[in-house]
Formats: sequence, C-alpha cells, structure tokens
Amino acid sequence: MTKNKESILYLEPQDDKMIRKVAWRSIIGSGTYNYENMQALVFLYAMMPVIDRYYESEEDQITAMKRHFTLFNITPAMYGFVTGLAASMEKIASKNSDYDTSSINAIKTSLMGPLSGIGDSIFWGALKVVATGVGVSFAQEGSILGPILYFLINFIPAWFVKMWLPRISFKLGINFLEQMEKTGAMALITKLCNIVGLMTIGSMATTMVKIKLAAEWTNQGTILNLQSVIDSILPSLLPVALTLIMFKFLKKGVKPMVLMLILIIFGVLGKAIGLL
Amino acid sequence: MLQALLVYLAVVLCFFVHYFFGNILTDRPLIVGTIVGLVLGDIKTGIILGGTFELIFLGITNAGGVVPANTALGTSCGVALAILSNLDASEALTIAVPVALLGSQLITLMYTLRAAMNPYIDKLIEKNEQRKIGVFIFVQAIVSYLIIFFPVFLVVAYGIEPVQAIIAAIPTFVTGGLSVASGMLAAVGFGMLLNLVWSKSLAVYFFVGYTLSAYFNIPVLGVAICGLLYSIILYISRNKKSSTLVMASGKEDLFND
Repeated sequence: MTKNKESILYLEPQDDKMIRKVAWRSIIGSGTYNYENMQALVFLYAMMPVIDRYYESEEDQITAMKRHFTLFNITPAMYGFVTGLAASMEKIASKNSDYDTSSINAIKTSLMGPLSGIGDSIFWGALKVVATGVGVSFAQEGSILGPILYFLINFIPAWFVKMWLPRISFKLGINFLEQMEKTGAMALITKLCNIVGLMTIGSMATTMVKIKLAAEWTNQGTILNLQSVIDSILPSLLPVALTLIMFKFLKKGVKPMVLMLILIIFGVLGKAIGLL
Repeated sequence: MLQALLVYLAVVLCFFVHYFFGNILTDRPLIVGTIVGLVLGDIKTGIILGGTFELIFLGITNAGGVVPANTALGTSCGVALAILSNLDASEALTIAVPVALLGSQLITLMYTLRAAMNPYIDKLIEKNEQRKIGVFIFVQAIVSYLIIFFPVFLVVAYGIEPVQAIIAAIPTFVTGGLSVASGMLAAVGFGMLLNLVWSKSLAVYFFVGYTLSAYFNIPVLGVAICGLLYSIILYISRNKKSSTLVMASGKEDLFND
C-alpha cells in the first residue's frame, strides 16, 4: 500500500500479500456469529493464510487452526487489529518452539473488551449518530442524498480503519515481540498476558452469560424471589458457576455440542416449568 | 410473486453486504427502505419510510436485549406493503414492529443452529480442509440469511395474515426458552477459553475479574484496564528486583509455579 520503507505501514512484499488477505477476511467480522464461540469461525478463516505461510507440517497447521477456533467477539471495525497482532504472534511462535502459545489466546481475549469499547464509541456512538442525523434529514424530503450520505459517512472511515489496522498491529506486534525475545522478558510477558486474559474472562463470564431464576415462593405473606436471594448472597453467582461447570466438563473431554444441547433443553424445560 | 421474490433477494443481499463487508450498516432501515423502494419502482416512498423507521428503530435497538429487533426484516415488510397497498407510515409501522420482533426470534434460532454446526468445523480442521472451511462460511451465511428473511417473501406475496398466524402458533415457552438458552450458551464458549488459558497458579485472577464486575460493577473494559495496570506494576517491580536481587538468587520469581 505504501512504498516508503520508513513508514509504519510498510511491509515486505510477501508480508504485504498475507496481511492483505487477513484484512479482507477479517472484514467479515460477525457474519458467522453463533452463540457458542461467537465470531471464532471468521478468526480461523482470517488466520488461515498466516498459518499456511508459517507452519510447514500439517500437524502444526492443525494445532494452530484449533487454537483460533475458540470464542472471539469484538466490534467488527476493530477486528483486524487483533488478527494482525495474532499473525505476528504466530510468526514468532512458528520460529520458536519454546513460545507459550496460550498467550496468543490470552492476548486475543484481553483485547476484546477494550477494543470493542473504543470501536463502539467511535463507530456506533459518534459516526452512526452523525450519519443518522444527516441521512434522515435528507430522507424525510425523499432525497436520494439521504441514504447515500448515510452510507458514505458510515462506510468510508470504517473501511480505512479495517484496511490499515491489521497492517499496523502486525508490524507493532513483530517489533515488540522481537524486542521481548532479545531481552528475555518473553516468559514474564506471557504470564502477564494470561493474568489480564483470565481477569477479562472472569469479567465477561459475569456480565455476558445470562441466567436468571424466575422461581418464587410465598413465605408468611411475603414473596421470596429465588434470584434476589442468590443475588444478596453472591451477585452473578449463577453465570460464573455455569461457566466453571462448563469448563470442568470440557476439561474432562465432554464435547461442546453435548453441553450446548443440554443447555438448550434445560432452557426450554426451565421456562416451561417456570424455573427460569 | 416475482415482486415478492425480488424484494426477498434484495433484502438478503443488503444483509449479506452488511455482514461480509464489515458491518457497514446496509441492514439499517434507511438503506433497506431505499432498496425495497427501488425494487418496487417507488424509491421516494422507500426513502421517506426508511428515514422514518430509522428514527423509530434507533430507540428500539438500543432498548433491545441479547438480540435486537431485526429492523431489516421489519422495514422491508413495512415498506413493501406500504408501496404495494398504499399504506401510510403509521400503518406500515404496525406491520414492521411485530415482524421485526419475529425476525429477532429467527436470528436467535439461527445463531443457535450455527453453533450446532461447530462440530463439523472441528472435523474440517482435523483434516486440514482449509478450502472447505472457506466455502462453508459463505454457504452457511447465505442459507441462514435466506431463512431469516423468508417472512418478507410471505408477507409481500400473501399479505400479513400468514405471518401473524405463524407468530401466534409458536408456544411462548419455546421462544422464551430459546432466548433464555441463548444467554447461557456463551458459558460453553468461555469454558473453552478457560480451558486454554487456565493454570492453577493463575486461577485466582479469574475470580478477581468476577469480583470486580459482580461487586464493583466495573465493565469489561475497566477490568481489562485494571489487569493491564496490575501487570505493569508486576513488570516494573520485577525489573527492579532483577536489577538488584535476582543476580544473587537465580530462582527469585514472582511467578513460581
């Protein structure tokens, strides 16, 4: 995209080709969203050119692909930042067999919340409101400028961000990681990443897993709601407990699909008998 | 019938472009209304109604729960019927809102069904079938959009009654149960992430994250920042130590495990 070698956006031709692919694939963002691992499929899709390039043996490729088919969810405008960064980590990991690959997912996870926060406030908060204001005021007069301006105000900034972010984060990632390898701080950084990752997962499980009991009973004329009783002891106990139970089962090798089926049946039955 | 088919495909295309070119909001009422108007030969009504719905659904989407109302489905039905049967904006809206809510049920169902296909992806990964994964993404998306927007076809071809009958026929505990389950399914995904990042020595940080969010109501972004700052503190304090102490005792480490 740029010929100037000093520029932060300059990449070697082969890297350039790969990152271009990553950027285009990252754009799909939440196009394949599902409730179990959210945008994981697109992340896997975006990482395939990277995995193909850096891992020679089929076995390593499969391990790397499995690594990226895990829960991921981010505001789509920011998607490319994380895929670009993950690409830089895969590059380092493929050359260094000591590299702790759990840090890759830890970093992905810890970036979801912060980047979504920034992206949402820029693209959903500011731009979309401006676009709606401008677009609707023209549209109410029946002017074709309404939808066109609405589209362009939303589209142009987002498109630039999506095309440039993977490039920037790939380059920053490589520089940072190589620096860390030289100074021998890699193991510490990996630990720190895992700490941030675990804290973020703890917070996300608390706020994003939704389970509420609807069961109530009457005790000496006052209505007791089971959920409010639990909330007064330990708030958000159920979402976190459910997450940990799922984790325990998964660790024992239970297939995610089986757990999801159980949850769906539990949801419908629970609703039918008034528990949920 | 041909008009119904054209409107149906146009809306599916809007949705596809929206998602596959990076959430560029071509699924919003203003764009969908314009496109439906264009297809039905009355672009001006499409734009005006689209603009009206845009404002109305702006409020509705913000108040939504896990899945916001499917504004594209609602708008396309409302605008199409308004153009074909000369309804005014408020009449079109009485069609658009219930259909939009039905649409969000369909999306909930679709996100659940897609999750059910994940084992197939696991198999493709196991065989390193990268090309098939690429094809699958597009096929899955297009098929699911065709299902989500099928009510547009019904409404434009046969009027609003059959769709209302469908809405009435679904028992509430099924739709309610599905939306309850959709809130719980993420627990499986977070469980899988934990499976990758969890280690006994660091497990306590999961509960730190829980405590910050549950008791102090700190949003995810705040918790991530807390984690980052804490990491920086650890990093600095260890660097200090390593420059003064560690040379003597090689094992001195904040993270003994």
